[in-house]
Amino acid sequence: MTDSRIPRRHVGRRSGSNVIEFSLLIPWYIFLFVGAYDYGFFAYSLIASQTAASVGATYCSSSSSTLTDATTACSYALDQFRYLPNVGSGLSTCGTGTTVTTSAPVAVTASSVTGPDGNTATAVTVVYLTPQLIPIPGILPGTLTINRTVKMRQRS
Amino acid sequence: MRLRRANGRRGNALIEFTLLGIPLTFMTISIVAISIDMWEFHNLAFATEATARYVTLHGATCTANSNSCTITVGNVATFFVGAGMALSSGSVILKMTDGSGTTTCNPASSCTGTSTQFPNASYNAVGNDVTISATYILKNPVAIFWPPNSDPPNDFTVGAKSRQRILF
Repeated sequence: MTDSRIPRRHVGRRSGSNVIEFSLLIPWYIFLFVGAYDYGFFAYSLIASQTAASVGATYCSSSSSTLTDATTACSYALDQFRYLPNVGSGLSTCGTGTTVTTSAPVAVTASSVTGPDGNTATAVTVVYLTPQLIPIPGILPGTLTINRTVKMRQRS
Repeated sequence: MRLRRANGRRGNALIEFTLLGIPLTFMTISIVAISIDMWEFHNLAFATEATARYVTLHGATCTANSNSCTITVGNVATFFVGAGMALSSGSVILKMTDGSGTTTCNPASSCTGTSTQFPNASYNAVGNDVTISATYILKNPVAIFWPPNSDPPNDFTVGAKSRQRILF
């Protein structure tokens, strides 16, 4: 296997090249793993936020007296996030306005608006701060603030 | 002398690749495994939400004026199993809650033939709440080569919940 065209001093330097290549490759593997994990949680959070806004708007649109009932909409919204670690089964209040913090990661607002058809509607906005995940500097943040708004026409 | 030294290096790359190939294979499989896990995780959230929506649209009105769209526990479980296409229905625990209590399907596929009306007739009215929740066991992608019931565990449980009002 010895190639007479390769100087002897170069032959010895081939030893260990796999270790170096592996070391260069490992960060990308870790990034892939962390990225898949983070995006999985973010996708789950996004679905839960969208559902929370939709369910809240469904409730608020039921009558004129509930159009701006953000408190009840908050209780519906929280039930969509129960299996997320920063909400759990204990949290029963939402953040003030659209402000979210680590202790109050969900905020719900409900307002009376005029819908695109000119009729009275409700606009429910849900803001959710995801749990702290593993960040990839410059590419993926450790937390994400998701903001979803649903408008729904008043039904009765 | 020169030949002996050269022969001593033979196979180095093979040995190094063998040693590094193990963690490399481990990580590759782990990345694929966690991607599948996360797909299952968000499919669980989707299926739960869609099932709750399905229930709220087949409520009180389905029992009125000779309508025949009333649904059963079996219908709900079947809908959930269909919506949760990424999930192994034998590993999902599905819970349906209305004003009369909670029906547990462990696993979800065990309830597909149940003919009990859901929501219960006594609580099937517009404005009442129904809750659908589900838990699912994911295989830990890092500990994919771990034996069962070991420490750290080779699986963990995730869940999703959706509470919605009966609309019609």
